[in-house]
Amino acid sequence: MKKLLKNKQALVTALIENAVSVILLIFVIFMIFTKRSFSTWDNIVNIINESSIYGIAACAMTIVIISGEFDLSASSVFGWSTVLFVLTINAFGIVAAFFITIACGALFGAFNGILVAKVRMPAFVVTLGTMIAIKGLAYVVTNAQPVNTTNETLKAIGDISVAGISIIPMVYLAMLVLFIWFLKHTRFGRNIYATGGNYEVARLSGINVAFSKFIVFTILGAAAALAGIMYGVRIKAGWAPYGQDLSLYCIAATIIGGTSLLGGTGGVHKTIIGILVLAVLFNALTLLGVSGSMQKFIRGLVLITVIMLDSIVARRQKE
Amino acid sequence: MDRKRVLDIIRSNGILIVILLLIIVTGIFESNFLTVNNLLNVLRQVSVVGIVACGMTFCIIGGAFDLSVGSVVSLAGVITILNINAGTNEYLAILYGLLAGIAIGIVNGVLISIIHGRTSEAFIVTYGMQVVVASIALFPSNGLFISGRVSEGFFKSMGQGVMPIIIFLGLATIMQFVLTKTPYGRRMCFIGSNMDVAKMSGINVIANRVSYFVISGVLASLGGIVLCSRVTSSNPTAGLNYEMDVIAAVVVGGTQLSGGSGSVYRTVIGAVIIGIMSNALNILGITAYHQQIVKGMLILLAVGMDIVNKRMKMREMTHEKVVEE
Repeated sequence: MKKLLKNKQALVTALIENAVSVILLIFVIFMIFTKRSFSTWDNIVNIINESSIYGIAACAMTIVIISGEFDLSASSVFGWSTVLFVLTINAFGIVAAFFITIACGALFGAFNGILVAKVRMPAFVVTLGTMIAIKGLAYVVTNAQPVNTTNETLKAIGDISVAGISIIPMVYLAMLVLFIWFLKHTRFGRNIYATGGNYEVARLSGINVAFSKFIVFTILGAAAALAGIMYGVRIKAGWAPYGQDLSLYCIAATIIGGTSLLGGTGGVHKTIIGILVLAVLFNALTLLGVSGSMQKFIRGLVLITVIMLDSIVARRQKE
Repeated sequence: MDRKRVLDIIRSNGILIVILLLIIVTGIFESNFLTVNNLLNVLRQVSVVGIVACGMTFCIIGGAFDLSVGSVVSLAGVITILNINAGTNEYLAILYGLLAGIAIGIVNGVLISIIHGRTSEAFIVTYGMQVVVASIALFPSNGLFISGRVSEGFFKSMGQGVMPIIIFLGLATIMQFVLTKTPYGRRMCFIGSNMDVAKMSGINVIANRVSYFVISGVLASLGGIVLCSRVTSSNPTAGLNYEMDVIAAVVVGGTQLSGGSGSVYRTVIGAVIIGIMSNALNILGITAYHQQIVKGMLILLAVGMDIVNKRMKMREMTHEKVVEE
């Protein structure tokens, strides 16, 4: 009896700790039984394709959050990259366009990184400023008009598909593997955890904390640019307002996945769950015929519920 | 020594000097910039952001954060206009608008208090509220404009002439007084700088913190109503991204996001600086999109200078101490 009770307690603790995954599972089962179109291969592919673009940026955002910072400017870098990618494709061809866009994103990220790591300005203010400025830049360059391209190679790349899965989820998967390896198995990755966990202690133990903070912003800049390129691959167009909600979406996915905003804990593998939860939720709401503004309403409620749950669980664990 | 003092003044008021230069240059090139009419126009334009920013300042000094204000601006406008169109007494309609802000403030405050949230939790919870409230504002009109059937009266006068400026500056004066001269304001700085110690000293942290969100909510509502009155119609997405403008005003003014210190006057200055800047750039014929770039840089410059300046002062102080010894 005692053993049973202990097992029960362990089960309850496990359930609470993985509340988000459990909710996701229940929700998926509910959807499978209520909507037949939900569990079709087409729809599953659709969910994967849809979630991959923001997923690329969300994984990099997770690294920034682990280092104890966050970045509001990723959304503007994304929009700017769709524009830059399309413009440079038309001017120099696809290979040059790819590298120029990634380099430019990394440069913006590095700018954020220098201001946060070296000047020690709060990340919120820095990235608020660059968010506004980069968005302005994208508007100025295109005169607020969308730009598009008819590049043949781009079309061919966009058409690649294996059992319905396009190239974008493959890039997403590659980035996931890369980021997880980087965080868990390299010195830089572990330094990022240490920097986010306790900045002063990390500094005193001889870790180059400034470099850790600098590099995470650069990575996110490049990843947001890559996400922008993937969006360009999908729709073959670029426009400044694209991806406006990217930053907050990525922060939300990270937190829903279980990485704390305080830094020092969590991981990219957790964010995959966060991205999945949001993607499945949107997909299900659309299939159920919920209107746009109602979807928004539910999305907000889910966000609040998850952060409340997460904080309460974290506090119970501490006690 | 004198040279050092001049340098010191330049350093601590860097952003004001930049703006002063902009004003002088624009004033020389364009004769209609430095007119009373134009300056009143600037004040009128910044008054809505300013009113909301005053509430946000309280929130930030108290160690929290409110991203939901933009949506509250939209919602309060929608509620007030709908009520006025339905024939409700205009004072009651305004009251309903304000009550919406109070209710959202209470929800924000209670949710964040339940999880003992700091700035980061407040960030996410109020972002969630922003999404929720924005969608509520869309429901009544399906996202469409609602024009107000009102041509005169108190509501109409709130957004016309010097009224918004009076509301803005009057509120700022009262709030600055509350912040600096009342126990409530002193407690706010205490809670903002160290919540745990404040709690141990017997301050009712929860009630106080909820009140900051309520103030922020009610002022966002007031801002929304003034905005509505100015154009006599409500747009359910009027407050989209407003929170960023509001936070920009607070930050450019020099209140630090870490909480515990700051002033409402600084926020007024921040709002006016941003207003004058965009007005001057408008008159010089620079497009809104170029202005965004300048605005982003202004935020970076203002805060960067503030931080570098503080660090240099600190270094000088320790240096002087060493010399004395």
